[in-house]
Amino acid sequence: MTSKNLFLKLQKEDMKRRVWTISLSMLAFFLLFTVVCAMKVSNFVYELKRVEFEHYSEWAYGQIKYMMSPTNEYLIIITIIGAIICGLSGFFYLHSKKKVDLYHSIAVRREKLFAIVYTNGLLIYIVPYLINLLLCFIILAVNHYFTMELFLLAITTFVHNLLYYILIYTITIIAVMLTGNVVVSFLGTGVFCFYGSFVVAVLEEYFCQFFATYYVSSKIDDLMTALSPIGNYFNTAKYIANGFGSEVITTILLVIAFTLLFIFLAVFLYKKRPSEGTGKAMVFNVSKPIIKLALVIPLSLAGGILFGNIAQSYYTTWLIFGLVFSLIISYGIVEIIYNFDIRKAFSGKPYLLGSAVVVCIIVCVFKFDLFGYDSYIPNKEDIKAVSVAINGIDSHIRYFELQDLNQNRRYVSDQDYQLKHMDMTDFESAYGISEIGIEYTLRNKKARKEANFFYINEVDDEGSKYLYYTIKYTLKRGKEVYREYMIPINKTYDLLQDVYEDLDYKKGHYPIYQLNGDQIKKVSSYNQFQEKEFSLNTDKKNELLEIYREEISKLSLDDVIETQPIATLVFNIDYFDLLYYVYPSFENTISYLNNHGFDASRVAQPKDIMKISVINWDYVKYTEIKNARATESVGTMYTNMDSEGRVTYTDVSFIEEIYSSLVLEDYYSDNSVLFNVENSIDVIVTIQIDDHGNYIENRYYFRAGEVPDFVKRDIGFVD
Amino acid sequence: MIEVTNVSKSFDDIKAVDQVSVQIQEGNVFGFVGTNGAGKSTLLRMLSGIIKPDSGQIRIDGMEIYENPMAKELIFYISDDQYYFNNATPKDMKKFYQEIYPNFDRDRFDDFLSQFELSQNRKINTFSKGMKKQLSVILGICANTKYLFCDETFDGLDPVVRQAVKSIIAKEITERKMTTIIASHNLRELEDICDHVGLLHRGGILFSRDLYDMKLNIHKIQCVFKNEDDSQKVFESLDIIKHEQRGSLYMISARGNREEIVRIFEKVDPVFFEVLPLSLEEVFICETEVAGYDIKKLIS
Repeated sequence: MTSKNLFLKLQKEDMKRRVWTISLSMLAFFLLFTVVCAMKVSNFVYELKRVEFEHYSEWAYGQIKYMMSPTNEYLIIITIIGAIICGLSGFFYLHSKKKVDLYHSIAVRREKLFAIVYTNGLLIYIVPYLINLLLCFIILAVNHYFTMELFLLAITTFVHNLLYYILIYTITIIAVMLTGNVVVSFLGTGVFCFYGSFVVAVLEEYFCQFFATYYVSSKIDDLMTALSPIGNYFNTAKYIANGFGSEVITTILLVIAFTLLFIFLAVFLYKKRPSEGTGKAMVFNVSKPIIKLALVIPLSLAGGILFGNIAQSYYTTWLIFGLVFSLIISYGIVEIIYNFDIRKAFSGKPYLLGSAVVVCIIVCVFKFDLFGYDSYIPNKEDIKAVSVAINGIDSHIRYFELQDLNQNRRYVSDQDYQLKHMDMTDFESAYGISEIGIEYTLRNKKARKEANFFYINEVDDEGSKYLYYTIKYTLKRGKEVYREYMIPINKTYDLLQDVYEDLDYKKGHYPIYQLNGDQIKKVSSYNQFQEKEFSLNTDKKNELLEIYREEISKLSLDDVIETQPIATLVFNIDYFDLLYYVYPSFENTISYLNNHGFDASRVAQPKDIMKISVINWDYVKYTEIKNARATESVGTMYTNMDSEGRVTYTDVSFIEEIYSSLVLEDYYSDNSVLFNVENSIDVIVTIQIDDHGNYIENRYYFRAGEVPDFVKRDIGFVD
Repeated sequence: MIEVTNVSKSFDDIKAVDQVSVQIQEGNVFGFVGTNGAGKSTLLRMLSGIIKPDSGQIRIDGMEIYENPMAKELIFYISDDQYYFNNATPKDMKKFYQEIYPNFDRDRFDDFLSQFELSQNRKINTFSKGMKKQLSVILGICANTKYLFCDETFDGLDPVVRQAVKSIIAKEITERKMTTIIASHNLRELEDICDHVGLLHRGGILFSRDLYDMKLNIHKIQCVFKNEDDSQKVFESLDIIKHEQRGSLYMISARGNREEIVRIFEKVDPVFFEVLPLSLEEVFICETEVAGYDIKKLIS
């Protein structure tokens, strides 16, 4: 140390060298904050004088709030660009021998030099940000828009942006420390920002393509986002804007921890950085092969899967072509960058060979399932609990998580929700379904292989519907294992029935089990004849919830198939509705609703039906009928058909017979795996709902094999 | 004192400096001479603490130089292509170095600028190569450090300025015992300023000698002997490095002090003899030829 104030003096000198960055930063924040704020506020003031709109002031305030909020994308983009520019320009001198000779010959430790340049990079962001934010506050205060809420929001946003600025800035500096050329530093920054996500995406794709039982969890998307500082930045901004939840606090703490770690790493690299590395692509020889392999292997794998997916047929051939092609190209590019010489594209052949071997091993592991991923099932003794999600049953159920302090919702996939909230300790049946699932998976894989085609038509020999069955095994040692199977329902129905009747299954399957009266804003119910909103206090809501849970816990799959809901309960939470069916067996629920003025027991009887229209959409048959009409050779078979091919029945006896064979189209869609229907036949039932001539029309399907003979004859339907 | 002990440095497969050992006493002007790629700049950059030797030790006043601010405070390094900040003026550079070197002599800097007719406020990027070199030397001198390392500093200076710069350095050496290391590929540039020279070749140091001793110990003699016997007697008595004969005229290069050589010649009473002064280049030619090298391939 040559002077007590050397740090500050050198800081000042460094700032002089970085005037253009400071100007750029000031300009960006001036435009983004001061100018935009002044424009918006002047516009609001003008509009408020001109128009009288009840919520305009509220809307205007919302606009200002957005400007100050963490989700302001412009601010995020400026922060990212600023962090990269400051990171690259601050240590730009490391890319020039002349500059290195000056900076590294002076009597200042590298740690101090680092601290000087690093701190200046932060100040270049912080000072213009705060100055312009202050100007914004002044503009808002003068125009009476300034509030404490806005102030706190702006400060929160500032802290959030600063945190990610430091993270991306430090990552850029690490890239600079590892490289000796500005272009390579920039590329390195890109690699660091997206590498983790890229590798996860490539592996995910391999799991999806090669393992039939791989379950695509949204956790992977979360992981991909989390591994990219930029993705993570956007994500946390969204969560913070919705109020702090425990997840986002954990993420922020992790980001702080990683940022500190990266700062130490950057200082360490700077201390170890050989000055003679200037001008080279990679400064540290030891990092060269590591980075080379770390880039070439995933790029080769990505190329393979890309070519395979584009081609689809002769998948393996194109996969191999893609692997080899991408390996050679990516290796060549990396070597050219390393040596700045195209003639050196294939130098260091042992590494090329090594990469090829690693790629080959990885692909073989996936292609031939060397570790038996698809046939794996944990030992029963090792399992603590299982959770299952069955696709095609109760598709009308909406899944969500109440995830933060403001009770904001986050929609989650059906599977993710059920697998998270279900803990079946009696898992014998669920386990049995998995065993059948493995059997079918292996059979299908073999069929695929024999077909030499990646996608094959996956239908059961007996024409049974396949269901997607996702299972999570929670092992006693804490590990979670996920698998997904495609199984014909007729092979598993009995086991499925057992699972469905398990209370633990119901608790995870129906989110109503996590609801309480406080969260429900409104309760209403509707059926074919009426709709009613109830005035219920929290206790009453809880009572209804309790009754409904009690009854749905006893619902069996046979009930779902053999009966149809007579009403629908609607639980409203803020802006969206949760729909729950009321089945005829739900006597207490029906009674509760009756007591609150809703006649849930009333269902449409044949006498209420005005008419039933049936259309056969079978293309061949439809064309045949049209042609017959054109040539007027229509025989007795089609005499009841109108010009559009529709046959309408009004006779009660016909209606009665048809109606008993029908399943409501919406209900069928909600439970599609449970029903087999004749979906080439459309049935429209017109029901009279009162004595004033009002009616409704509902769309139905015939249950498979239950089309009455007279209907078959009338519409020309052949089984 | 600067002590360099068995220092080596490689850049990938290229051995830039190989097992160099040298001691430079305080107040000396040490010249490193050698062709391009001989390792002069690398050695100077290691001496300045910019790059770290792969092996060996460099100590300045007993302190390791690499990453040691205490040792670095004692040196000023003028590279062969000194860096000046973008759009900087001499005044800006003065301010910068003032912060780094607490003994920076501002007044002297201003005086030197006037003396060399360099403007304080003119942007350095508009300076000629020679002007930039002058400025770098002025900055180095005014930093008032104990050691000054110059890499090809006189290259590009016109003869007048070169002499002026040399005289400034000489004055500093005399006045405050500044130790200077000058690296150059041009032996003639070092001749009138260095008192010690090290010859670098392919990263190694061929030899390192005191110039004064070298000059005093090697002499060139022109003579004509009366007969062959006299010449034989002289050749047997002298430590001859090389000799040539053109007719009866002998050109002899020999080691030893002048008085001794003169005495030997006087003994045989030749027809004619004359002891001629040797240029540094000629001394080097002799020394390197003895070592088995062709000097013309080692220096320009």
